[in-house]
Amino acid sequence: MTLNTLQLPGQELKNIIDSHFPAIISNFSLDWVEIPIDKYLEIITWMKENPEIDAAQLSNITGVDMIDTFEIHLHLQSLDLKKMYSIKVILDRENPVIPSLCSLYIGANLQEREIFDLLGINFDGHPDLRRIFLWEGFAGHPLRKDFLQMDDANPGLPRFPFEEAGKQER
Amino acid sequence: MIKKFFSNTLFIKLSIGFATLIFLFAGYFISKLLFDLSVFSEFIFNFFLERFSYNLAYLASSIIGALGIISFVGLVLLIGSWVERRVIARFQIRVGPNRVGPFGLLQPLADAIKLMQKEVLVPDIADKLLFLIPPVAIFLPAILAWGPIPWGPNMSYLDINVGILYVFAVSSLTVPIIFFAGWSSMNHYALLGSMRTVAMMVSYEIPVSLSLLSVALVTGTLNFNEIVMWQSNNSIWLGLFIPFALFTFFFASTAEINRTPNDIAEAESEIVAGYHIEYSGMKAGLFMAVELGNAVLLGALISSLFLNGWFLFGIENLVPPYIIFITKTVFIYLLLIWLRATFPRFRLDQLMNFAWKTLIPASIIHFFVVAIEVSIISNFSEIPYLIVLFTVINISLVVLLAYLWGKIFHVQQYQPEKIQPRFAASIGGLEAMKEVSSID
Amino acid sequence: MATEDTYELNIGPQHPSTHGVFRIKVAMNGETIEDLDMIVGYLHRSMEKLSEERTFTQNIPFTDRADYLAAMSNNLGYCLAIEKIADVIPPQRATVLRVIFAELQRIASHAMANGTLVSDAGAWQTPLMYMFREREKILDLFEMTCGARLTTNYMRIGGVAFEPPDEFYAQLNSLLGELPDRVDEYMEMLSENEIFIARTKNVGIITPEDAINASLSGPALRGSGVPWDLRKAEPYCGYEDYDFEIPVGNIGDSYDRFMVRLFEVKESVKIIKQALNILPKGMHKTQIPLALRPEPDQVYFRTEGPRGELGYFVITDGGPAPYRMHIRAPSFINLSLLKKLATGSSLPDAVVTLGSIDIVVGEIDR
Repeated sequence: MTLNTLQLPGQELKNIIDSHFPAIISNFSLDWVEIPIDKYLEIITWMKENPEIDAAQLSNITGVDMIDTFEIHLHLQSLDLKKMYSIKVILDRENPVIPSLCSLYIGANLQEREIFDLLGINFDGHPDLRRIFLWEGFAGHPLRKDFLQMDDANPGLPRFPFEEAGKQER
Repeated sequence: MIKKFFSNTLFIKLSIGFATLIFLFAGYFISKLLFDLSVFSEFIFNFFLERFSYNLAYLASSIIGALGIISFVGLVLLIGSWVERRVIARFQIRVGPNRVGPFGLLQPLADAIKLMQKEVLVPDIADKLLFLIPPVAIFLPAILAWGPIPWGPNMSYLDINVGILYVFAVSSLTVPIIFFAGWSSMNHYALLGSMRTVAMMVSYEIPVSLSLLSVALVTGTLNFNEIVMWQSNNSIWLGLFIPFALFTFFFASTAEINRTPNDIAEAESEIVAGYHIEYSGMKAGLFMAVELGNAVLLGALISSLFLNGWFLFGIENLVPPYIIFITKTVFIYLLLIWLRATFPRFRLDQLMNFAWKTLIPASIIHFFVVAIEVSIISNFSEIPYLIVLFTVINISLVVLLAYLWGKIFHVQQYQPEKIQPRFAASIGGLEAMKEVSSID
Repeated sequence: MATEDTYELNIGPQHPSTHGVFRIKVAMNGETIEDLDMIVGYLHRSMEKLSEERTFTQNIPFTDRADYLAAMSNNLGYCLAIEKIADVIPPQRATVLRVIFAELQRIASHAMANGTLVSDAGAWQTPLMYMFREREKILDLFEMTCGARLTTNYMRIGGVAFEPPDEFYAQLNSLLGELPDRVDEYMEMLSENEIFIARTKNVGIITPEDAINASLSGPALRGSGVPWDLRKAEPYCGYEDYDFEIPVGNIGDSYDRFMVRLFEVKESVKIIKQALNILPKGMHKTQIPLALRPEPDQVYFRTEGPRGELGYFVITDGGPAPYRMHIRAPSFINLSLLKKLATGSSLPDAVVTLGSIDIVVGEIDR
């Protein structure tokens, strides 16, 4: 597999970040760089404001359930430098919390709500963290890998909004 | 052999020609017979007068006359909706209704039957009485306003001296009825629609009345028949003599009767259906029918006030005059359909601005100008062709002002080099954007 | 949401100008929108979850149904992403055919977007019907090629599904001949129309800074003047070989977005003509294994769909199905600014703004 045309290789991105945040990157690959969660907001803010990187646009943010952990994948891009940066953050499986990017990017708002809805990852500092596709009270988060392995004792998901769990006729 | 003969094209052509001849003769005799319908009304009146008292004869003939007008309006509603749908379909490269009956002519009937079969839903929280009255009550002004319309010589149902005032008063009745409809529905869309309607009608009644006042000023009467006769005596159409009044009346009336481009009261893309959103079945159908009837009524008013009624360059002596009148009415109605098929819709504030800041001051100025012209004409009546002179002046003034106004407004709004897209010189973000804007 | 001074109005889920089952709850003060809350999800079909249980090829029909007005473009984006992760190289003829169909789809989609925008501005469906005339011809071409008009399912991993029939090229050429004239006709009809200008000019202005910050893409971004098009910035399918321009707007109002779409139609026609000239002979599809099993890896591949940056983020674990597939839906992300744009504007302006952003609810909800 080769890189996309605009994609900055992980090695180069690591070098740039290393020069400002020494010894913070634990892992990287051909295209992505993994940054620790406690420095997440700081690094992204720096990436947005540093003219060398100029991550002006948050192209995409999404989450993945890796069974033991959660991963957040960010794709930032600079329109002027014509570069795209791929960043990965690993979260705790039991209590997934990550700082929200809403203060930096307006475009993060809806995407983070989507991740919260479908994966159950909490975004710290999000102004309006509610479910977006599914209704309030929906049991579970469907994009988690264990979503379909719920207990048989579970009385069943409410099929419609405003319906109490377990009350519907089967 | 016989079959072959009947399928011969010559035979078909011959029979078509023969049928056309028969139709022409029949049409000529029928039009001679029905040239003056006042014969019939006099016959009916005398028939009752000879047998009963005067009061009863008056009552009976007026009921029969009213039935005549109502049945004509009903026919117009049925055919008009078919015409509107077919014509708009042609504008939109579609076919339109063509399945029910010949050319789809029975489609309105089928629609009405379908609507009548549907349940009339009344919202739970609606004000029941007020909710059920408006669809019926709204027919009242729509029918009553047809009263003083002059169909032909001696063919007014209400030949009253205050004809214009009467039409104006009756059509104002629509405002509270529409407001009741919107308010009692307990729906925000309906409320918005009725508030818009009321605001529009209140604003646009002023230019309408001012334009009708200039008509009254010129002709010196409020009677429809006399207005038509004035135009015929002076051999000038009022629409030519005071074209600005015609424009004002036409534009403001489209706002009054909710036609494009001023149909904001029931703007489909914004407030769905406006004041009649909660009505279903035939109740909604009645609202739509009245809307259509009002459009035809507008055509009748314009053709009698501004287009010389039943007169048309002497053709009124060959064809029954009411046919000419109906033709003019249909022409205006087709114009309204054309507008509907062509234009987008104004916004409420734009329309209000136009009414209060442009149309009303202009109408007042126009009213004074007309007053001056009329006083000149009446004081110097010995000079010939004074009316023609003023007609030329008025038309050229209106055309010039419209041109200048459009030019100024258009240049403000539309500067192709400034608002057309440009081609990007390079790809990028804000930096590349500076390059693009530095090109010109 | 509604305060003492305001009342609540539900625009949608069933409303003529929301273009689908999309609901906006607004707090209105008279005719002015004071606050707004988008409620989406009425069309949520959990495509991303379902795709984890289907093979890579079986997922192609899902992408049709994401943006049902631009099925070809969505097919293309997905197939390119999978080809990238599985190292499949499509034959040259397939690549050129893909460009032709993606650009045809762009024309069809822009015709729909502009037509509905004018309908939202109050024209009683006439411009919509005119623009549907061209869209109809393009859909006929699709039908002739792959049997479907809307959900085409035409692209395959490693090529395209079918070779276009012989009469396709004649019809395509006649369509290309008349399309620029048609676009000029629409410009004459609408771009100089006083009422249309009055309704769209200076309505829903998006500044370029906001547009970039809110992750906008496609005509919504270019309408604000930002010259960003992935066909030029990050060429795929050999777009670097074609000669075309990127139209950008001036101030980012609804009118600019409308005009950018009209101009893009002309540019698409140019691309298709060049593609027809260089269309090589050969296979339209390479053989790939029935159950494609790419190496464990991840890919984020972006294409320029009619509505903007259409990205497919795919993670594989060596199995025949993606471990995780995420669709970066341009319609969904373009809505980020709706609240900011609509707050303080009147209801008709908000409707026009929403129409000019051009959403497809299937893509928002996925």
